[in-house]
Amino acid sequence: MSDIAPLGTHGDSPRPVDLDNQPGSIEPDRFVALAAAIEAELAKAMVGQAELGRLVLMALVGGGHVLLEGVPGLGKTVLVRSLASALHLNFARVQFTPDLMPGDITGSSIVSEDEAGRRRFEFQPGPLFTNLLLADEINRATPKTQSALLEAMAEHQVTTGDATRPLPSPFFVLATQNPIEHEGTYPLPEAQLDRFFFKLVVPFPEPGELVEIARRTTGVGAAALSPVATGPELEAMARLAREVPVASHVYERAARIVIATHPDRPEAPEEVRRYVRFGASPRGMQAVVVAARVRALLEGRYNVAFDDLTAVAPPALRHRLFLNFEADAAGVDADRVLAAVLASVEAS
Amino acid sequence: MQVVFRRWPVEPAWVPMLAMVAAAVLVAVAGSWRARPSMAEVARLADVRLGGRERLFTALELAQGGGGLSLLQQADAEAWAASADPRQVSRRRLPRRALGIAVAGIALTAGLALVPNGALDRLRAARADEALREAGAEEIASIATEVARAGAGSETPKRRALVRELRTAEMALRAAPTNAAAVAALSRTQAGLRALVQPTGTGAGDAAAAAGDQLARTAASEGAGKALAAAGASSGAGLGQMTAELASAEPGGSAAVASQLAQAAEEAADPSVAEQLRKAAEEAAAGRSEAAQAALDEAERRADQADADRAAEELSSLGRSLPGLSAAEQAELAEALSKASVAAGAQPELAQTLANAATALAEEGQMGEAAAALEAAAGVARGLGAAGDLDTDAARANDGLQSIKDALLAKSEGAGAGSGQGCGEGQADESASAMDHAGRHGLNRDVFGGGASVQTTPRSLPQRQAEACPEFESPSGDGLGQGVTVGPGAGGFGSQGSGEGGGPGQAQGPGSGQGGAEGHRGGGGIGGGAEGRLAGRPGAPTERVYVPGGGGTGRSQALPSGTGDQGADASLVPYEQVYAEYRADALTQTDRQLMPERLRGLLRDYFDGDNQ
Repeated sequence: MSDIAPLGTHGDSPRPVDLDNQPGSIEPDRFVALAAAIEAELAKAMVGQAELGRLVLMALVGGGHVLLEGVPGLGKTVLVRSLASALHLNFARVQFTPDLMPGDITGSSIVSEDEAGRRRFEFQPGPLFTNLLLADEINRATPKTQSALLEAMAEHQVTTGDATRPLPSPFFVLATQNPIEHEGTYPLPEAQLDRFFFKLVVPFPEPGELVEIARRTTGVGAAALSPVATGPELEAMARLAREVPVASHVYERAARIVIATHPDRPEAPEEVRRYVRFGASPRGMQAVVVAARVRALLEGRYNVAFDDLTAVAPPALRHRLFLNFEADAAGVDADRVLAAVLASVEAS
Repeated sequence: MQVVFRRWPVEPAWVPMLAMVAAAVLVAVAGSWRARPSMAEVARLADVRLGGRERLFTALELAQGGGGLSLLQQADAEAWAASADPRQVSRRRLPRRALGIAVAGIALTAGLALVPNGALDRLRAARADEALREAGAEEIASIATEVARAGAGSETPKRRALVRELRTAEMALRAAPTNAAAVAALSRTQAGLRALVQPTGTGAGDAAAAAGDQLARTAASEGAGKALAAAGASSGAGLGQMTAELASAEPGGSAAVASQLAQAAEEAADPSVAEQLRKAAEEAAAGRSEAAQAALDEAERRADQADADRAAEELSSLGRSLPGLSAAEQAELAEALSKASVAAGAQPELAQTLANAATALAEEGQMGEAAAALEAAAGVARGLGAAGDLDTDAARANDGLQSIKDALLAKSEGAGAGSGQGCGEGQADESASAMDHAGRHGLNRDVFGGGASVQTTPRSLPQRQAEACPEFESPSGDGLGQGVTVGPGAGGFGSQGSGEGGGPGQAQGPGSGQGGAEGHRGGGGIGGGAEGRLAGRPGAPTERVYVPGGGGTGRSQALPSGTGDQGADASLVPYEQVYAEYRADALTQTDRQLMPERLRGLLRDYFDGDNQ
């Protein structure tokens, strides 16, 4: 999974590959089949939220981390747990609290005796050393602890003392946060937010979905999920997704979208100039392109279309737009600004 | 284009229209070629219009290389392209604005095409006029060629002048910008022909005949005199009678003429004349009247020439015989030559040579000069035959010119319509002048309009006066004369004007009456034609002009008393008040080229004479 974390260190241009000779490579049909199987397993535990599951899957295939935002009780944790169950991956959950220390998640060196009775420091890995990490209520941890995730999320490694240890591959962080409860929380800093591939807003279920949730979860039985994909298969899917061709004008469209989020650019629409303090970073554009590639494959295409960019731009960019006070005062959120941006680019 | 055609008409219009369409197509093709979309643009458009979701453009970029998913992508793009429905592109909304502009342009063009194009009509008329003038020029050229050919071998300066006049007329007709100018040029040529022919016309023949008669009275010159008289009398005149009979013969009645011709051929002394007469008889018998006419004309010409040659030979012989004459005979001959010279006054050249011969013969030692003078007279006599031919050719040429003029005038008549009216009224011995004025006025209308004055209700005025005013004579004014002439003139360049003049006149004893005339100036040129501006000067329909009786003859009737009634002046405006304007207007009209020279002279004489 070394090609996932370093977004910005890997080029986005398609590299011709011989799928038959690549170790652990898969065919596009297998890609689609695996994705469908994963989504089917998720559907067993999740009622509704199909789009949410699709986006999470896109982030995983794209090699990125996901920040799930939603009020309590919407199934964020269930989603992550179900995902872990559907994949042959190690899963760890960390409930972030204000007193959580960095070492609590990265691990620490402890004194231990060997068989000969000699004492020495031995590194005890923390919950980070897993394939799928659920960072529940991540905004409740202190910035110090939150920052401990930076290296792990960006470089898939952990440095403690003078030793740097790689994390298992693949490594995904799915963090959750409550948007309405600010007491005793520490909002994620911009650098931290930028490390997330997607920020997904978990919607409230429709009435019918609520009924189904009640029917499924209030009985004696629970849905049993089976793992349908392994870590190597997930990595192969990620490699295949990065081979999806992108035409030059599609790249240009993605660039225009990102540029239009910057209020100091002439291409920026009025909403951006008025409500945005800082626009999306180049890492945001990378996320858009990679996610669009995955989406194209999931839809059975071998090229990225404009509507792929349009579909993935909100989850990939909404947490990368930093709105100003006027936006807060006017009740304008990032999604509204992004809608204006996409409309502006579409019209140009 | 239609707008341009209204300013600068072109015909046939389809040529520039086709050229414009071709140019437009060419520009469109060139523009399309220059603006043709690249493959990438086509791919992008197809992706957008057909919902290709960037398949084609991506495949186009990947066509330069790639593998793995690139190959799959290209295959996917090809499969999609095969299943795409291009009709979706054509179903896109029409460019209404461009379509509206195009429809409006077409409608405007069609509308303008339905609106009559006056400029085009004028162009067509001008071209028709030009074609008419060109045809006239060709006809004149043909006449000139015939005249030149007819004079081959016996060419005289006058024949050369005649041909030159015709050639000049031909060139003038080709260069004439309008029919009016062409008619003017033809009129000048006709005047030139008259000036050319008149000195050696019928008067010349008569003069030669008279001179011959004088010479025939003297024994020494009897032969020369008879021959000269015969040449002057033109022996071909008899043949001319047969020519007239041949021309007037009914379709089945040419046999009698043929018989006469055959008999004349038998009697003809000159072999070439006899040959032509036989030919004419054969043609007449065969019913080919035109060929017979031509042969008869040729026979007449040769007969005249033979007579002239014989007269020339006799005069030459007389000159050679002078040394053998006695002094008395010489004196008698000198006297005869002198009388012949006087008799040949109408033929100045002949008169001069005969006078020279008489003078030389009367003086001693001038025998050689007398012989030379007679030889010169022989040359003049020889030219009498050619002169007869020249008259015929000139008349033929004049007829041709007149027919061309008539055609040009007739063409111009259709271009407009107008009307004019004039009348004159007079009393006393000057009464006929009213008619004169009426005729002149009508004639003016004719001139202005270029039409012909036709006497419709002649009462006492001879038709000749109504038709040809220049020939008006001084009023006899003896007795009572009364005449009315009404001469509507029709035609005109751009204006079909009609003039009408009426002039009752009363005449009684010479100088005892007063003349008055009243003429209503016609409102000429109220033409509806496009060229109405060329019509006669539009006059006020109610304008009245007083013109004094200036001439003309009415039918006279003697009155018992020497004094007549006072002439009634029905005028409203004194003549003196309008005469200057009338004179200036009339003289201005004379400056128009259209007016024949003889009519100009008539008007100038009228206003410059005693009538002022």
